[in-house]
Amino acid sequence: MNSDDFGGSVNISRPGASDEYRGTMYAKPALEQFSLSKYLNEYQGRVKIRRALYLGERCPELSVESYRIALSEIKSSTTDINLHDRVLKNLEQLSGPVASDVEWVSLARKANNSAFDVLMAELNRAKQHHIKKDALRAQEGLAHHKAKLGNVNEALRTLQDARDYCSSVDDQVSLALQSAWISQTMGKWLQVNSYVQRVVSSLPAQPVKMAAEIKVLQIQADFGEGRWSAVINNVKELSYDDTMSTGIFERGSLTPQDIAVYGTLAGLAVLQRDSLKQQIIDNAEFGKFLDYIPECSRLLRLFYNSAYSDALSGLDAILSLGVLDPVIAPHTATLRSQFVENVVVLYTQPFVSTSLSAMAKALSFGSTSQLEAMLARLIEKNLISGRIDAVSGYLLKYTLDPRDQTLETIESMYSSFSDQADVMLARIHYLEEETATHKPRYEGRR
Amino acid sequence: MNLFRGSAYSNLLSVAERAPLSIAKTHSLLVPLLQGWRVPLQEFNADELNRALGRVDPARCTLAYAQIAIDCVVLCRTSEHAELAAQAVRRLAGEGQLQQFLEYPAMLQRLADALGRIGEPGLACSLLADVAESLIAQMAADRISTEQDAEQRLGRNSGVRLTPVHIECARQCVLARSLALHQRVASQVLSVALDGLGSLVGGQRGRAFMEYNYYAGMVFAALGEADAALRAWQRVFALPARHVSAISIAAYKRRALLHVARHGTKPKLPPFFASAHARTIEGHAAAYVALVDVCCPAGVASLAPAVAKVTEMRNVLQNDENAGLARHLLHELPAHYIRRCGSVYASLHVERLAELIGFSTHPLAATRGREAVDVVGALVRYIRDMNDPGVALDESAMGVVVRFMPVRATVSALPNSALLGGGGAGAERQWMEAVQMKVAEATALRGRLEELDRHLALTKEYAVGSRDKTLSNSA
Repeated sequence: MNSDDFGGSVNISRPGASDEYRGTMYAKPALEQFSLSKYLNEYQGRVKIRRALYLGERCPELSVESYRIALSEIKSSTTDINLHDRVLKNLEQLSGPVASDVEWVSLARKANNSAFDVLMAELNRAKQHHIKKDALRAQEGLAHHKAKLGNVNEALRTLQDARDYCSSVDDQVSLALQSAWISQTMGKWLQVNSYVQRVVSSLPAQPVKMAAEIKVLQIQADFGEGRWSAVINNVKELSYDDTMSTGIFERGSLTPQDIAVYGTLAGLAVLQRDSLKQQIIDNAEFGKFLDYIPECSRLLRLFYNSAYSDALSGLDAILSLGVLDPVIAPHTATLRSQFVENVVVLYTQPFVSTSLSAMAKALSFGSTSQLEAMLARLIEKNLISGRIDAVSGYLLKYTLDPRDQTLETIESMYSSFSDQADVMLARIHYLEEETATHKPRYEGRR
Repeated sequence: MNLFRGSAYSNLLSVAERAPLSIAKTHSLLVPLLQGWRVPLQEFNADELNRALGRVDPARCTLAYAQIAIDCVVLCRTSEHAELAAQAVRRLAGEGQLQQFLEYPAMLQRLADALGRIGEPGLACSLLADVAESLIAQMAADRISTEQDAEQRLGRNSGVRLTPVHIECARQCVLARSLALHQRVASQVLSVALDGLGSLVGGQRGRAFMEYNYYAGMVFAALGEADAALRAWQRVFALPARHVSAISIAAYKRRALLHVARHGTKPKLPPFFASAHARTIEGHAAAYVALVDVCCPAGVASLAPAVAKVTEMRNVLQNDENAGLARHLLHELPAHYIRRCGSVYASLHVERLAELIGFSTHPLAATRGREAVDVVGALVRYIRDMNDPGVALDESAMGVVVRFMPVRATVSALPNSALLGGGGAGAERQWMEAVQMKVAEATALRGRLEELDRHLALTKEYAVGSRDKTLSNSA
């Protein structure tokens, strides 16, 4: 990985790319050891389809295979005819004519119609007989049916309407959780967090399994929103056994590898060395997730042992595949830049003065001027207490004596106080004269 | 027998001859006459006016003399007339008694209005300054001489109150555009701290206060006294108000430009200023708000956006008559940008500095082809003119280097780096002096607040209910 690409952007040609895609700095994912089928088989249902399509749009080498896998999953786990047709069209553009599975389409259409009729009949009967429990079940079924058809917003609305039939807090919590999972399949992280908050506020003391399920959902949603500190807070409280016992990974919506990657990347973006060791590396529960991806453990150890150049290479390797992941891809540039900033800050900490050229070489910066620009940014953000001696090419530690700092603070405070006091006195005089009960007169000699 | 029968001023003079009048007589005879006063002459009649002025002693009947002097001013049309009017006003200033003005404060407003319409700002300002200085001296002397009556005069400091003459003097000074007048008015009139509005200002008192401070700020700004100007403009926002006024909007615009030029930071309105009013003002001064935002970036930045913004705002600045302040702002801005570089760099080549702050886009950079050498030379000259001990130029074989030195540090913040000004001892001394000065200011301020507090406590309503026997006895 060439660090001259830092901050650059590269186009990846792709058929029918989605508008929300942003170019990243990675020229080409390292696909030699990447198995698409193994990766996608960890997921199921809508999540698998979404990931396959995302990958297909961004990686020309794997487009055809991705679309084929997506098509297969659509037929096996959904009855979404529209999506089937769209994916088929994309596949035909790439690989030539593909025979449409007319039988599946016909069966799917029939299944859709009959399922809808059955569910509506159930719902109407339940409403007629005022059986809340049955109505609730029918609404839930209707919502899942709509989700299966790809009408996610309709599905969420149906679950929202189902709240009318809730007869206990548990029912409401269940609906909120279902809404959260449906939102998760479409990558709507704000909604996921919103529903999770509803669960937490409705049921502050959740059962252990539910709490673990919520934690996992929150970790992914917070990562999706780019809230790294929130990810770390949830990772700290994660319990491997409780999480595994919920069976959420069997749903195929996310995997233990995902949790490992999210925690690793978030930790590297925001934590200092000591905090990283305490909260991530030495976290026994999280360590069990890290066992699923040894690369993450290695990366964390490299960073902790100050092998920054190797750590950066490791991070680049992970992020080069991260651009194919719909959750990680929007944040690859941010994660890398925050990691590099973290590394630069840590690198400078032990030294009274640091040679810029040596630092640029050690951290694989393309040029000293790139490093200087980053150092200037970090000094302005007060993350580095130093001054750049651009003439001799050194970064010098800048330590303002606490007494000097106090004196300057006091002077600044006094200046502000003095200005305000001047204005307030004028105001008080005016108010006193305007509101005094005695006549405000100039009291001269009489 | 009315000795002045046949004179246009016969009624006035017949009352004035009985001077000095008691307060009752003043109010029963003189004030009604002055309240309904119409200038008895159709045009300037030097003989009549001279005769009238000669008959009245300004010290014994200030009000009557003042009215005749005002008539001189109102009627004058030629330079000879103006000379006579000026003599009359000067005599009034020299001999007029402030106590008498108190009996009919509207006379001062009348005098200020008349001089304000004289059409020659320089002359008007000079005459108004004479009157203002006289009033100030009498108010201050009155306060000192009656210090024994401190209880009745608590809450006062200089003893000087605002008068319509102050306001018109400041306004005419701005119009006069004379350095000598600016210096005189600034030092003799505007620099005297006011103890409030008093009873000599009638009508819209809040507006009078705002106008006075607004014009005072303009006078100080013209003299280059940025701090005094900023303080004056800050006081425009001191008073509680139901509505936003054009004065506050104009003051906001000027203050914004001067504050950025002086300090390189965004100005803030007082914390007690109503946020709704603040939003209204910012809405009317949106271009200035945007300019301030552009001119005060965080960290190291280029001058180009600021210069472009000022150019874009040229018409607005000209319409608001702020082009001069904008030029001043542009001139001072590079200094702040250079100092900001000192928060990141310990030293750098002047070419690099020019590149970082975009000095080539600044009007001060040489315009001939904008070659690098000219820009650098201009920047070197600018840094020398800055005369800032924290920004030093070091010329060597390697070129010109700009070094940023921590100013007033008692202990060096950089490794192996010398301190400015002879080291820590000099900085210690400077800090000690600064702290002592601040302590003295704070002590004086505390004294003023204590006086004000006692004065407020001596109002009848408070004292009656007070458990403090001395206060309740004084009620």
